[in-house]
Amino acid sequence: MAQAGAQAELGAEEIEKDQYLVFKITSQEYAIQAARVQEISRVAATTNVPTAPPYIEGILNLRGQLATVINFRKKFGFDPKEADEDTRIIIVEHGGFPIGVMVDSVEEVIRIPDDKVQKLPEAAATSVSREYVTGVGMLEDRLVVVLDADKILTKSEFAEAEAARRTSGGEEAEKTA
Amino acid sequence: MADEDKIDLSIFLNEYLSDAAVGFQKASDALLALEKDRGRVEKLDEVARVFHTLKSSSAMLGFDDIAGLAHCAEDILVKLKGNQISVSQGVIDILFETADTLERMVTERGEKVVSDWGARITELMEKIKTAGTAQSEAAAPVIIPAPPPIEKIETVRVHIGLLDELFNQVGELLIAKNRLDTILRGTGGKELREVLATIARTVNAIQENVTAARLVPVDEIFQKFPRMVRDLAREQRKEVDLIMEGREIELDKSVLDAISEPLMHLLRNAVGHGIESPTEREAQGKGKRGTLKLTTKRAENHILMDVEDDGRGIDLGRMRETAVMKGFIKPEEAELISDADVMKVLFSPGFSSVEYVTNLSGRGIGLNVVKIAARELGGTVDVVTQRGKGTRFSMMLPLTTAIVQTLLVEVGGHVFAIPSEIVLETMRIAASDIKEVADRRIFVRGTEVISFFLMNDILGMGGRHGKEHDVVIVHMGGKFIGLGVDGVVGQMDNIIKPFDPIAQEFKGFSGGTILGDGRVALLLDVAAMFGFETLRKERYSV
Repeated sequence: MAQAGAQAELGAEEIEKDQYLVFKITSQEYAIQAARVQEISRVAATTNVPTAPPYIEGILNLRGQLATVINFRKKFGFDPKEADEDTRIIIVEHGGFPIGVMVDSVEEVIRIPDDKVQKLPEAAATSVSREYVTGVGMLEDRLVVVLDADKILTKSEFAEAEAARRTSGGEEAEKTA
Repeated sequence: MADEDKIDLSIFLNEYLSDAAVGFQKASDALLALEKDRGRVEKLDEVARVFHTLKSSSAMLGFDDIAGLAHCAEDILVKLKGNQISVSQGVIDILFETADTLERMVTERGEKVVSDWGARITELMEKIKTAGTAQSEAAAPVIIPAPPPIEKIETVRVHIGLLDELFNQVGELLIAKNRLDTILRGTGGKELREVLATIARTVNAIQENVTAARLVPVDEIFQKFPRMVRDLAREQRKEVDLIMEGREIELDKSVLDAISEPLMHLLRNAVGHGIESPTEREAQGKGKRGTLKLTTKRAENHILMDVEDDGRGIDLGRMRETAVMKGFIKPEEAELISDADVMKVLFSPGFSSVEYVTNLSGRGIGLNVVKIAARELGGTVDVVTQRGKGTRFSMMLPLTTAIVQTLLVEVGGHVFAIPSEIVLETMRIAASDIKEVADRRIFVRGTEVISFFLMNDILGMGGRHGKEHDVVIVHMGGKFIGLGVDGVVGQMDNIIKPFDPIAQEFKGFSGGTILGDGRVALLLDVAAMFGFETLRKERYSV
């Protein structure tokens, strides 16, 4: 355990700030800082949490640790898609725990220098709500949406989801604002 | 003897540090007793012994500054015993101060940082001199004691990290064993089953032993409390007697660690806001001195801890007003809701701003922290109060964390776990025996009326609504509720895994456990269901 921890630490040191992990949803490429990624896991059975918002895929047994898995498509309102052999769960460290983000596929790790990341133009329409977007990585022949990993994990629609569930929920539901 | 000098004495440092720590505790206890009753001069001997031992051992390791100060302190004790000076508060305070300084100096030696204590020592020595009538002598040469005889080693010091690791590994072993059971269920011959049974027995035995190795008496932490309460009380010009019962009871180290901060909160609150000033107490016909009682008891698989004061209690009327004002209780509910439910608001997050603190005799501070700590350990916290008479906080804690026996139940096609220790029994009752009374469902078991909750409804899941229900009767704090489930799957020893911050937001569950087939079963947050019964407005959280 201690050894693995030391390696992970070393790894984090080696991975530089401008290295990003690129993944795909539909045909669009997205990127998050590679330093935040713990590992990439193939799809495994998750346990459904009946009281969780719909975009929570479930709880994964990650070698004895519990990891909540967020379904990227559902969280950002894309059409649902059955998991296939390309589907991956990106494991990101958050508050000392692993959290999974389920994506269509993982492409590669690339370097996007800071000066290549442009602010999202005001008028631009994106499928992912702009508050999650750090900027747009302009590379030679591709355009990568750079995301803020922490926001994806922490900024939850819990409040809304909870409120919706409550009002449509059981007898004990309370309409608290 | 000449060879003695060549030995690297640093190997004795750990022993020196732990002996010194024990000594300081003894000295502190003795001084507290002496302070309470100045007639108990025999306590002076205990303090003197501590300083003497410290002087010798410090000199042996070459810590001359510590030895010198300890010698001075010993000196004053000799004079006290010889009635050359009398036991006054001033002298007791100096002794406390000296012991504290020595303790800090020793701690620094342990951390290998040595600062210059010269000025502090001179100051203290000066105080010691003026406290006495006779002049204090300069530090005398110190006698090095003969090395202790070599004894057979009966105990070894083990770092808690190693125990933690062992504990986790046992947990993994358990998961592997459960998995093996699942894979081999119904297959294999007699021989294989025998081997499996042996493995199971051994794993259980290892688990018990590792668990036992992590138990420490609560006094490890409690011993700090008398001094803390004394200092707090003096600071606020109050007079408080701290009575501690059950100090010898043992608890898992991690549980004890997790609970020490919340306990300190409760004690601080009791001294600061529960217990009145001596004049206020006298005006009310109470004794000048307040009593603060910290009781630890073992009950079945739980530890019960009470923090009780005989202070002013909580003003429930005011509490109710504030709870309404803050929006914790609806105005129309204010009159109907029971006192017990009003008190629950005390533990709500956000019910702790200074404004309310003053209104509510300060009972808001940190109480949410106490609840969270208890809950994270799978325990509960409760409070009862009587105006003018006092307040009692009661915590119920598990003996150990992590490995617990769980009852697995099925609801709406999912398997959920309930800690077995809170399960009284499982039974099957006819749907027609469940009656609707007002807004809740009940059934009768023997002579008792028990509230019934269909888990399928609570978790918003479909399920069978047949003629019969499997009911798990769970108990907590002397109350019972019945949980309707689709079926009981079985029992399993397992480790409870904590939730990540995202999963912590999910209502109805408090963690997870890994089943034999590697899948995760969620742990039902039964404690919250009880809250749910008494305080319906907040759904699952009390």
